[in-house]
Amino acid sequence: MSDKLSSNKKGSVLVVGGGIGGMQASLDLADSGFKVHMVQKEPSIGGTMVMLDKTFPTGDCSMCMISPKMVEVGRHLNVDIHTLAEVVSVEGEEGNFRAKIRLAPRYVDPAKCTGCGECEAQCPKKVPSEFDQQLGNRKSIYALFPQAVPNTRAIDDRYCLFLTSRKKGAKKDVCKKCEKACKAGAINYDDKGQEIEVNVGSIILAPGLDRYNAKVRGELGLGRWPNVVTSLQFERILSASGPFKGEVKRPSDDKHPKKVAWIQCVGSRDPHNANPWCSSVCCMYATKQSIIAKEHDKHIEPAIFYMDMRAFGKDFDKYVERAKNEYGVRYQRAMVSAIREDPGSGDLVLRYAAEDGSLIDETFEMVVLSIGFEPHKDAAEFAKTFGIEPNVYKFAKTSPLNPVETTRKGVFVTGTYQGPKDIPDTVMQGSAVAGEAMALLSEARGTETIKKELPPEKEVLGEEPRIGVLVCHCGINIASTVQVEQVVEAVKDLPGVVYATNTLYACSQDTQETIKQLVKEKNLNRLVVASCTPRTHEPLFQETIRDAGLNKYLFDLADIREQCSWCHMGHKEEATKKAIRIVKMAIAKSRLQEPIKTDTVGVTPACLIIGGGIAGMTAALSLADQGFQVSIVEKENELGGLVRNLYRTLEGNDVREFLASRIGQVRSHPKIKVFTGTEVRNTDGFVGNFKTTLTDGTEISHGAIILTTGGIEYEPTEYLYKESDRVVTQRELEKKIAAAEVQAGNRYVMIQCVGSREEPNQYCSRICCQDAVKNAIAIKEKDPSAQVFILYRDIRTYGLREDYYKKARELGVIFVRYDVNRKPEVAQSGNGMSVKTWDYMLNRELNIGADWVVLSAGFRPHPTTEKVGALYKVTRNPDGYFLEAHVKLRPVDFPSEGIFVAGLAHAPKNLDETITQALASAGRAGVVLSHDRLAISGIIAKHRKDLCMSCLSCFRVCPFDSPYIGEDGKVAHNEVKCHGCGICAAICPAKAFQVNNFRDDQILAMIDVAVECDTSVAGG
Amino acid sequence: MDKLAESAEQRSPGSHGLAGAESERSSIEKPREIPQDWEPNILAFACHYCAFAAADLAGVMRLSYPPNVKVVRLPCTGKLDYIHVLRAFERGVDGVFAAG
Repeated sequence: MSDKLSSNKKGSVLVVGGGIGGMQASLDLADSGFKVHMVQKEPSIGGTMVMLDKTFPTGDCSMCMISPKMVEVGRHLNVDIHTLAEVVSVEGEEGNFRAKIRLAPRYVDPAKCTGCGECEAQCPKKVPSEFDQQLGNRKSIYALFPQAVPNTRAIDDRYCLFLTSRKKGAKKDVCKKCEKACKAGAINYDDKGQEIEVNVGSIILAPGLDRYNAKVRGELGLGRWPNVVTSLQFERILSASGPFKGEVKRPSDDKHPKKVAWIQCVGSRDPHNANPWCSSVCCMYATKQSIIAKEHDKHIEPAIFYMDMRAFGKDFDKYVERAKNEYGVRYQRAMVSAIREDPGSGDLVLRYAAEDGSLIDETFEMVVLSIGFEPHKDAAEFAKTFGIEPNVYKFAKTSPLNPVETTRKGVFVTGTYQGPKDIPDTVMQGSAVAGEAMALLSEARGTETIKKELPPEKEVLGEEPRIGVLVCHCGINIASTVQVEQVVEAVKDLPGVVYATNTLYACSQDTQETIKQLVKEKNLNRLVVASCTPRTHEPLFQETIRDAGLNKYLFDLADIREQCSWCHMGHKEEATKKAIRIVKMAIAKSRLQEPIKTDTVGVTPACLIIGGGIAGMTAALSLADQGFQVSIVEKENELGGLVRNLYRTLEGNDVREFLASRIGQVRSHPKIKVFTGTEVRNTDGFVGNFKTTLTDGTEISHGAIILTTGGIEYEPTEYLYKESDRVVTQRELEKKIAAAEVQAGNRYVMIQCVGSREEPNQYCSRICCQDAVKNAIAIKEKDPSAQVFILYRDIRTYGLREDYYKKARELGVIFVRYDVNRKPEVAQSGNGMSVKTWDYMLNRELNIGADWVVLSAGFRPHPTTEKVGALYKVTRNPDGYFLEAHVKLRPVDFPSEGIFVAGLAHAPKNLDETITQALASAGRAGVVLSHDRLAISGIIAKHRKDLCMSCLSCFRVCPFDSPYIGEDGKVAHNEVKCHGCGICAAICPAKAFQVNNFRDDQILAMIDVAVECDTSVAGG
Repeated sequence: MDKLAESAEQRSPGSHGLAGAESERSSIEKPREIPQDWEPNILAFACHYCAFAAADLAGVMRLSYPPNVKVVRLPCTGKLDYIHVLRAFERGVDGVFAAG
């Protein structure tokens, strides 16, 4: 039976949703031998992240990060994107589903459309832009945003003048301007859409989120007072490509506001007319927005009105501290009860209660509502379509121990549909679901993917350059500004050029055929296309000349659209001159181009995991189920790590049973070897080919490494810990509760943030608030006569965990806030303890007698982290946790390929988050290990030993550790690790490094041509 | 060229009142008068991943700037070598812009 089942398994996966989570899952799967069908409701992929201006806590540009990923998804041979599409039904079971997808009519034929956008320019119908959150307009034929993927425009039939009038039965044709504008003939008003069926092995749900409609809370004035905007509108205001071009202005009068207020928890943490959960991200995005606003306009005075500052993520607290101290952001702990507009001025008067209870009216010039997340409006219907159970709030139902599995086998969930979360957690879940699908469908890997057959490459080395030049009109995008014929004329007789011509659309399918013919007929050995940006179009033309038998690096693209015609409109003569110059530069480089042979290296399909805690074991099981050999190295004599001290999760799951079963699975899995009481002695190698020797002398060959070295609990030195047996940690209390050692009627005082959020450990340990709430609930449920006080700084029960905070309050747990400058004082008093603290609600000191003082002790990285980090040359953040390759989009990778991280070694996190990250690391490692051979990129630095003096300059500057000391004691270069950035080439005094296709002779040739004098004046 | 010759004459050392140091300079180092219609010729070195992408975005957004800037794409601004900058100035460029 199992054989039959396995033979039916499909090697493809349906990914529902094209946001960052769905994109990550799709890329991981498609890069590791699975066919992906991506279904996206909107006309472009991208989701919510594309609308954001910057991201916290690094201030990176959101679009700059996600746009290359979108291009990668869009161009991937094994990802089929279905936009304007919805899944209407799903049948079948794990390993073999059949899904029906309905594609709405686009009215533009993607096969013909070149994405030039001329139709959009001609369309007379303006529609409020969803992308700009109604602050700007788009056309009725539109791309969701300029970088949209696919960039085929779509006609919105709700607004199109022709389609709406035809629907009303108009006799005469109205408008049709887009059809007239489209030189490619791509407009099809008779598009009816279609329904398709796909047969897949697994389904990944990544539909993303909706945002709370803040108009429901009329007292805040959204939609009534124009200078009250939502946080997403403010993102668009901040965006340089947004409706205000990045200028912070008020919508009512374009005035630059000085005092700007953010109001937190709009639609969150509020069961009345809103959502009871915490949206997890608003505290941080408000902090980010206030910082960025201040950077855009230094006169702005930001104020954030909040209940608890939930900066629980990695380096978040430091970010908030910076906002306070360096940017002067004011954090006001208060709920705003109402906003009214000051008639005439457009200013807004906020009413709130100050800390001492007095009511204050304060005037601001602009107000931003930090609106929360919620599931899509049609979430209930969505769950029904896929046959999964939703939870009470209509998020997908999952368990903390299986955080990305839905109730239907083979259907996984990622991102905000699983619960509110930020970008890195979404990306992590994206890789985690990919890992789950890889494990489920491992035997079908590679059965449905396409590989391209290519003709042999023509030998051109030593031949004189024979360059073909193609100058593109891009409809009228280039040709209306640049005199294309003049460009052709100016370059056709340059040395090396044997043929030059112009074309209407260089990127169209028939031009690709023309190019192949030209290469043959004119015996070309180089090609230069002058059209748009190489960032999106270089791969297309490279593929074309490769199909024609030329090495793909014998191509160069001259960008005369984005960097010439589009920014010099109305300056025909100058633009044409510049275009000629740009094309001449490309030709100068092309002359010096050489074919580049790309190498491949073999991959050992095995993984080494350092650390046998829950993260290590989870990753090991996932990889072993994917079919790879796994070795776990654990320093201690038994598996389990910190989780051994845990009894129950906040949600009530039995952790001990879970741990025992996981250890059992690991121990009995034929593909997993466990080395306990062992450490790594030394290690060598690079992605795909590592060699490690353990302290017991065992040698292991492996292709990937996952570091799950874990953390330890801080051992308090404050609050009389160790001095009195009445002072315990949460962990010790949990043990007492589990052993039923708690006495009836006792009084507990819990103190939060012990060893966290204070210099030198200025970070939140993330789990302590929930731990305190968990233990408090357990005590009160067992014994309602017990009294529990929790002394806290901010309660950080983020996401759906907010329910338990509420439950604790309902059970009578008393929460008292303290300030870090006025910490509680613990003293012995008779048989018990007494705790003195200031109560900000009562405005007086409290003296609480206690039977137990319970300390919520924070996390520290495991002491071995430093050693392991040095061994693998991976960096750590100032707090000692491993630093991932990118805090947003590569949360489990290291800059060095083939090495991954999961669990507490990365940052403090919950059990479910640790499991997710472990699955993600297994997914990422699976991508590497699934290849028989890894291709080395062509654009890498080449090292010439004969020129090298081994001065070690390169050695010091390379971010990827690719130069190394060879056996002869001289510098050698590992090309597998090289990313081709060329920092080595710039610093090398002997010029022993040259980057392929960016060689110094090529760059100098381009400079010479770029600077050749146009006029007698310029050159002097 | 006449214009240039004229301007060089106008700015001969003596007219500056800084005779001492200036007069000892070689003629190559004499700063030239800037003619009124003069436009600088600028060469930009841009990182493929960020500044080059930004230059593309400027086009996508139809932002307008003078056409006397040409961009050389680099795999990373770290690849920019002093020989590139020197060569550009040697060939008479008026300004180098490195962005990444």
